[in-house]
Amino acid sequence: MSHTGTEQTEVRLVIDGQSITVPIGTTIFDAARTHGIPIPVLCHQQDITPVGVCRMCVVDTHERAYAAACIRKVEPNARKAKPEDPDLVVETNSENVRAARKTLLELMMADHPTPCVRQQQKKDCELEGLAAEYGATTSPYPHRELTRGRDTTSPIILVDHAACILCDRCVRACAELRDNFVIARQGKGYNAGIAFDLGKPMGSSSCVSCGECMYSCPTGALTNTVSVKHEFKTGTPCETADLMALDVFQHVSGNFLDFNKGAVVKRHFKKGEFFFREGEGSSTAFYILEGLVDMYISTQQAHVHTEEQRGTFSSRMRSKLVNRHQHRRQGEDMGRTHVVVDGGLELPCDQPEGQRGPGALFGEMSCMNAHPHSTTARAATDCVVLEMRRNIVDMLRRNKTFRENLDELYLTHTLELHLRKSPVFSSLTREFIQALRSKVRLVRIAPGEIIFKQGDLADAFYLVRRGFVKVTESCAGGDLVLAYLPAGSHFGEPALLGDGKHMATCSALDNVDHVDLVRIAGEDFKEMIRLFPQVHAELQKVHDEHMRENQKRMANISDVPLAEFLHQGLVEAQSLLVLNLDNCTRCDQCVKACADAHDGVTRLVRDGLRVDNFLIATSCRHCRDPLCMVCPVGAIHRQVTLDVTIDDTCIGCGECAQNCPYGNINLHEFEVTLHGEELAALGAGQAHAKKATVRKATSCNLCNELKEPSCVYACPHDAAHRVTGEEFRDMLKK
Amino acid sequence: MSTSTLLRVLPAEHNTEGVFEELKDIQRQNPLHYLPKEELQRVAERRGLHLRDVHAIASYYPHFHLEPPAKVAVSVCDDMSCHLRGAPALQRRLEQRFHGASPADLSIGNVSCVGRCEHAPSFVVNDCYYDGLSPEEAIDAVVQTIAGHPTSGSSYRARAMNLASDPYDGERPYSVLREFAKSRDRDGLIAKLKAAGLKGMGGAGYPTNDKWTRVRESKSLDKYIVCNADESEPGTLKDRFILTQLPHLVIEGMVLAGLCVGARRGYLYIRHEYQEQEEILTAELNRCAEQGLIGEGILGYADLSFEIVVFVSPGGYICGEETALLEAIEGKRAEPRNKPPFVANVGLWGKPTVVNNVETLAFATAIAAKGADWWNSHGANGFKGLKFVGVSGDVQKPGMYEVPMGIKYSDLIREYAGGPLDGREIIGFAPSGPSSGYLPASMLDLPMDWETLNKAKSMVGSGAIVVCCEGRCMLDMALNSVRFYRNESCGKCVPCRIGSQKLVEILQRWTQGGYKDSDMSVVKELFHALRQTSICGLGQILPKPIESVLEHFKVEVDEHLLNGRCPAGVCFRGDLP
Ligand SMILES: Cc1cc2nc3c(=O)[nH]c(=O)nc-3n(C[C@H](O)[C@H](O)[C@H](O)COP(=O)(O)O)c2cc1C
Ligand code: SF4
Ligand code: SF4
Ligand code: SF4
Ligand code: FES
Ligand code: FES
Repeated sequence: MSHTGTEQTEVRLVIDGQSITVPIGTTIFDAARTHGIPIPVLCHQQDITPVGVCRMCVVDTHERAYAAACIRKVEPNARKAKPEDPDLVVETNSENVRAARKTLLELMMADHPTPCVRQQQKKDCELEGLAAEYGATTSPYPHRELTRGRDTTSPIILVDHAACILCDRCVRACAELRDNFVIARQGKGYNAGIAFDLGKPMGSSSCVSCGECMYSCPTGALTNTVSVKHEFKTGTPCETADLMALDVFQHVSGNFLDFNKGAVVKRHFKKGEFFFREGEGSSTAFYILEGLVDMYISTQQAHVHTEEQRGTFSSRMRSKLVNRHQHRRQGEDMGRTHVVVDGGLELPCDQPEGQRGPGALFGEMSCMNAHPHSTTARAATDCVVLEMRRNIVDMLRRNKTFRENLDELYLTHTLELHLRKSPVFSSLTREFIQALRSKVRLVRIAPGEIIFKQGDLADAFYLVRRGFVKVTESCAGGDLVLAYLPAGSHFGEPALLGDGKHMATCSALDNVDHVDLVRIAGEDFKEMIRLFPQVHAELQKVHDEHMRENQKRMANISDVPLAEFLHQGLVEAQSLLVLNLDNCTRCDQCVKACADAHDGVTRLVRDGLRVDNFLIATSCRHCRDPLCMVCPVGAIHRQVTLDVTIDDTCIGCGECAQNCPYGNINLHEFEVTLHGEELAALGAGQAHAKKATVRKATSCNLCNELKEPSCVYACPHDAAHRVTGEEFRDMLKK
Repeated sequence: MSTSTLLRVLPAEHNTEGVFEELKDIQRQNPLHYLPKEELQRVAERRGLHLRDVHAIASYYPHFHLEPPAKVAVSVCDDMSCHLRGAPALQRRLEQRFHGASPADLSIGNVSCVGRCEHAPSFVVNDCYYDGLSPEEAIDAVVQTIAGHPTSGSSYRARAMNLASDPYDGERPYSVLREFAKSRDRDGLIAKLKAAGLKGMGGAGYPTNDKWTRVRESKSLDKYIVCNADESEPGTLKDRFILTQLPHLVIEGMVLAGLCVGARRGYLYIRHEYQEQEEILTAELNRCAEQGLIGEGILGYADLSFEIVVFVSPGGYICGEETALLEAIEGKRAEPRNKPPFVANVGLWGKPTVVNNVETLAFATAIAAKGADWWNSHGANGFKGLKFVGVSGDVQKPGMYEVPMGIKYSDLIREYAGGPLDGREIIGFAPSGPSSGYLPASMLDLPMDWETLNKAKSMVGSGAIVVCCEGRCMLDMALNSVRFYRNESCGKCVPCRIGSQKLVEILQRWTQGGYKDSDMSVVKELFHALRQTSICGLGQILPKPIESVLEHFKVEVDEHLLNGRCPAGVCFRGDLP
């Protein structure tokens, strides 16, 4: 210490009796740390700016109140009595200090969901660890009643707001370590919490899935979503450093990539080799490093359709396999002009082919939303690609530059296609679309997120770029789904044309993938219809048609017990198995037929909800909004028609069965013959055995390989029918 | 700041400047009176801010709505003074009358003290303030608003009166400033403040000359003066009164401080509920500008410049805490900073800053004009100086009074405020709102003096004297005060964010017969943690009301805890909020 003449550069402090000299401006925490004196911390981390909010690190500095060691810098003390006195005397572990820390821990533990997800996963929740150390695991304070719950919209990070202690570590990690600026505090006081962007669900925020926040979080508030590991059979695993060298991984945390080691492999494909074929499902996607890939749609998918023959009340419902192009079920294929496929491509329906090159991602739709592949992908030249699991795909898709490129591609190529192929917009001029291009906003909505509510003031018109938008109207008794709008459709115009208020609520379909929308601001829309009266007229026509339909529908439902109907989720159903009890003799032929069609295991139970003289059998309803599609390995798929099927990749975890509110999915044990590799994967340790039992989830697949659902076909008494929710409601009315 | 000024490019570190005015404009112009996400996005884009930053501030201040509020939003103040003078009954009556109204049409909720405590109870309907109305008159005001013809609320205008602290006898000559511009006697000015022993009137009582000296000694080129007119503590009325009656003394005090310490810019931070005072100040500032008393080249001296910006608070009691206040001026969430560093070293935008209360600055001008001896000639019982106090609660004449320091509280209440209500007995009083805690009637004869009250574990503070008469339950009052802090906690630090909520829940249980033997040691531990580990004064002072009631009103409290009985008949009705 130099007091005489020259400028003072160091300060002396006494910590727990130990004399320590450090440069001016060193924090108490750093001074103690470098001398091996431990001070507990929660909100502090070595590599980010201290904020001093959790107060765990408080120490007694013999001032009015304790100081937070992590942020308190030691300065020369001008008021000390003698020059040789220390500048600061600190007690880090006195009884009173420990008592205060214990109280802080008890306060946090009172609201903590113990054990939290982090503790369950890795036993390293820092709060629970400290609480154990301070004997504060059981809190004397009342538990929090209302929490903000969980946000499950991000495919890689699970947000449990109840476990958040507002340490701001994620906030700083996202901004200081990663330059991403997505997370901040929101709200005030006891109701404060963390939020993404403008309070968006994490999944639809500008989060790039770098994982840094999750790494920084001391508790179970931000944890890695459990992803079942897909073992790659071929390819060379990639090193984190190699990945980080790629542009698309720029804002991603190295820790996170390390954590997901083995989730990306490098593979070589020879010209003409297939990556995947149309109709296959898979849980990986590809990123092109070198070479070109052809993508095309060849076959026309077929699916089961049940159709009512006009006639009497108990007219026979006939199910048959129909061609995609023959069949138009309400709410889909409407005005569909192009197919959105992987790799950001949107192929025109009449000529569905395209090609992608280096820097493109493909196969990601199937990987993310559990649809089977809608295209076939084949190497046009020799290719080098990265094959990656779902969590990495998500990370990639969220990369800023990558996303900008995709958006750019959309705006320059597809927007025009999108608009001009629709009869409604056919009169728009190229110049106008060009001008529009710079004004539209591309927005992304998380599964289940509301785009606007009924009664909200309308300020925009939307085009669906990908995904499904659910349109619901609330009426006495509950919400009624009006339509599911597929890619290529548009919505929001009725309000802009009418009284300015939205007549229905629009949201992204739950549980599946994101919905991407093109948002055209209200003023621009109005400008458009002013300049192009024909567009106005067309829209008006469609609008009037909708209004008529809606009125009819509302008139229909007004005389059924709607609340009950909605409550049972019937209106969501695309294919209810309805037994007319007037005809049914309880002969069980339907059950037998079902078992026969499915390896002896029935997928329907002849019992369930009774409505009037109908029985709704326990059998998959193929909901439009399937709550079951939470499969960790993506074994549940939806056909293009939205029918729900479970494929053989099922691992029998039972997640889907738990989520189906109607008990329509069951787990069954099957005897199978296993091969060496699979046995090893099961960890059975019995490589000699050939037969084994595996558990699989089963549900009605509408006998999609047969002409007609067996149950309906087998009924000798014309009692069993497959109908949609709306049709059933109409039956009830009669 | 109007929206057009935003078109100028803001330097990166100042890109939140004026953001609150912009958000207020958007909300005002929005037909549903809220901030749609699209608008927030536009604000972010225009200013080059991240979305999260705009959301962080918009969601912090209760004044901003992220969802459309009810068409008619009624908010009743139920803090200390209003709680004593009929707020619970008023609220119950409103709720009964408008029971069943759709939430989109009408909402009835609470608002924290709006600074009209002398006319309690107060309430707000949309943006209009009402006070001193009976429940039936209140219903009428709401009905009129629903019908689309809102009646005008209460108004607060200057009155002719003689105030001992006005050195100019009602004139506004700015003589001290004119004199100082010539003499430049900075040492003399600071010496006068020191000799008068002028203390901070914002509550903490820190010597003013010390603050000015520290900033004056700093070599920084940029320095700031901030006048704290956020006045939001229940019972505090004085700043509003001073801004109405003596705005020129406050402005002159700011300019003097600025010229004395070498600052060129000052912010007058006023709570948004004080619209009338904002107008008065703007008018007075315009007058000053015309006379060359502020701005570039004051009174023709090219080397003297000082401009004053009136900054309207986006709202919240915590904004009165000086570092939170600076954060608000910087356009951020008003969360208090960790101290040290103190604002005299690292203040607004990191520059040395003097933060002074309205009353402090007005007194500084008076002392500069008439000298320390004049100041010290005032006072009672051997103590020196003057003080503005607000008296509210159970007294005959609630209001604002200028009193000599050292006056006994009993004399003050009797001579100025007309004594207790309806000849009732005083049982307790708070010398300075919730932060002073409650003292028993036996301490009414204490003189109003900083030292004396500190010894009594209370404080002179901002002089928000709240009187409680028989029939009041002091445990209920303690709960009321702690609840105020809970409502106003910024949530930055753990002890106050979570502790305030838990303490409210525990006290609520006590007033409803749910006391547990283990509670007492739990709350004592909690008091310790709050006092010692909270970042700012709010959390540190939070236990005060209940601690003081446990000490001074033990018999009444024990009746609740041990015998399940409220001697005043206030608690155990199961209908307290
Ligand atoms: C929670 C809290 C609220 C405060 N509110 C105010 C206020 O409304 N007005 C005020 O002048 N000081 C308030 N203060 C005190 C200020 O932090 C600061 O000490 C004061 O403005 C300094 O001015 P003075 O020295 O002239 O008193 C508050 C302090 C705390 C901790
Ligand atoms: S994953 Fe990365 S970008 Fe997303 S919120 Fe966390 S830190 Fe920010
Ligand atoms: S989510 Fe985790 S890191 Fe972020 S503030 Fe909460 S506890 Fe801290
Ligand atoms: S003590 Fe309370 S008000 Fe002060 S910083 Fe902490 S949480 Fe905010
Ligand atoms: S670790 Fe220092 S306050 Fe949180
Ligand atoms: S206005 Fe209600 S207490 Fe101040």
